[in-house]
Amino acid sequence: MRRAGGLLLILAIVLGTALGSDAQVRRLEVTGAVVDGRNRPIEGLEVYLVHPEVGRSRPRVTNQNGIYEFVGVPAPARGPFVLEIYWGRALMYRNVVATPGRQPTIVLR
Amino acid sequence: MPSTLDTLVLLCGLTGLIMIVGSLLLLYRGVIKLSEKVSGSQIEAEFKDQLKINVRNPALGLFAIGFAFFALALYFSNVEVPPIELRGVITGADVDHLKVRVRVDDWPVRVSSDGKILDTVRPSLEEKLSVEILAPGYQPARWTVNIEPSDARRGHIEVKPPAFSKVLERPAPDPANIKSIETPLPGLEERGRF
Repeated sequence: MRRAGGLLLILAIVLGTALGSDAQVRRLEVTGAVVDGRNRPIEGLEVYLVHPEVGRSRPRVTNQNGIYEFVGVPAPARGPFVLEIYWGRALMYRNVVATPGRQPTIVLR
Repeated sequence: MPSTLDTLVLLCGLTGLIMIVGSLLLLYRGVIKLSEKVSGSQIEAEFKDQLKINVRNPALGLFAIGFAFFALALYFSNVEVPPIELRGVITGADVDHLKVRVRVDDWPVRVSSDGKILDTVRPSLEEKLSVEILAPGYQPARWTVNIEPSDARRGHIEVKPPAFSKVLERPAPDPANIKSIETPLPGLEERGRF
């Protein structure tokens, strides 16, 4: 009986730790803008965040001001995200996101 | 990998088939007879006091139960939405500069005041589908139309996008903008996770 109680206690601790760690997943925000060589915003571009462990994001589409926005992105345990921008089928931009938050404006010329 | 429902449906169908074939076999061998009726112990099925089936003929009873299993499996296996062919013509734009995709709209999910998520999701794609054309450098740069499987006529839906007009020239991809990453990254074909 005491042994069963001990096992239950261990199970509760393990479950509690797992649930607790899930609840504490850090979330990031990555936003930015894309313009052309004459500083005009480009609407309709597909923007992805990619990470070897976290995976690929769903595409965000730049709005009429050329702005893309990722909110509530799960923070990876290690390594930065990579930002990719597609114009139709063509990859136009790929670079590492050094720090989350507002990114420098990307110019496609 | 079949889901639990798939496995259950398959087992249900197999059970029904075995019962039907078994009852036919027993009839054939003369173990049970269609003319044979049981006076005392009859086969009886009841569902929530609403449906009551009473069969005095064991051969018919076996057959009916087997058929019920089989019909149930047939009913539950037929949950897929029939495929729909999308047709349409894009004019005024270089198709290499566009992206055409079908999207499933967000499904609002009910959340109670104490934060509990309470909803049933039926991923049958019955509704709230939309076709979207992303056309950067064109006007309109983004065009969306909602489609419903019930709109399909003879298995296809006609999509009528507007004529696109160019407002920006797409620059050639600049290698300086595309950094090579040493770690292998998930490909475009991978489904978005967040």
